[in-house]
Amino acid sequence: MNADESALVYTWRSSVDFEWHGTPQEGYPIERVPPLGRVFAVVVKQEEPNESGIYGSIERWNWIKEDPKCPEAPIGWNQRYVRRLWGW
Amino acid sequence: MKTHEELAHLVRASFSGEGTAFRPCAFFDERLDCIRVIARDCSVLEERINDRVTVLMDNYFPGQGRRQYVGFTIKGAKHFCREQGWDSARSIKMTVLLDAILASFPELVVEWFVEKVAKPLIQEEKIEQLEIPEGALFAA
Repeated sequence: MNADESALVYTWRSSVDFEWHGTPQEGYPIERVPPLGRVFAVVVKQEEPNESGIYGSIERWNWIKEDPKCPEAPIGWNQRYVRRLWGW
Repeated sequence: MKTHEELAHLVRASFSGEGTAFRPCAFFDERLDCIRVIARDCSVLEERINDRVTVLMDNYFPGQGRRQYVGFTIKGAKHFCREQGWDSARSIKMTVLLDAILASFPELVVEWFVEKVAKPLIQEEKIEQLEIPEGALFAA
């Protein structure tokens, strides 16, 4: 139940988005302008640092509606996440 | 900022050795302790149904040939499976999984999600079962 407590979530109002079109080997990225009022959220799982100094891995990414009262944060961020680490 | 061609090269390199294209699927994500059902590989907008169930929507719906709902996730997968009495290293039919979701969260919005979103999605995309990996329910 608490796997997400070792995850960091980075959110921001990205001005650009990409979708992959075609097969993994022969496809290509299509640039898109994301709809307004959405933030991009990247979930990073924290790990013990390895020999390369890597402290975590990106697990997934999604868009979430933006909190109208908290720029660049997802709606309901205070229910989604344990605590806010930094931001405006 | 990388060019599109550089991005394409990086993505293709990351997929080297993987010969198959995306297929609709359901899987047990041990690292994030959730069950994930993904019917389409696209930019996704997620919207919470409740604190455990999240529905995934196409970020660019409506559009030609695009479906609105493209997946869902169930948070707290280990706890949820244990509650159902399901063991590791077994398959669960998706219809059984959805009935268990409805029984565990008897809310109108969850009923709407199961009947109007999840069931049509798994039927149309032929997502028939979820594999619970060996040892998944006991991992830290």
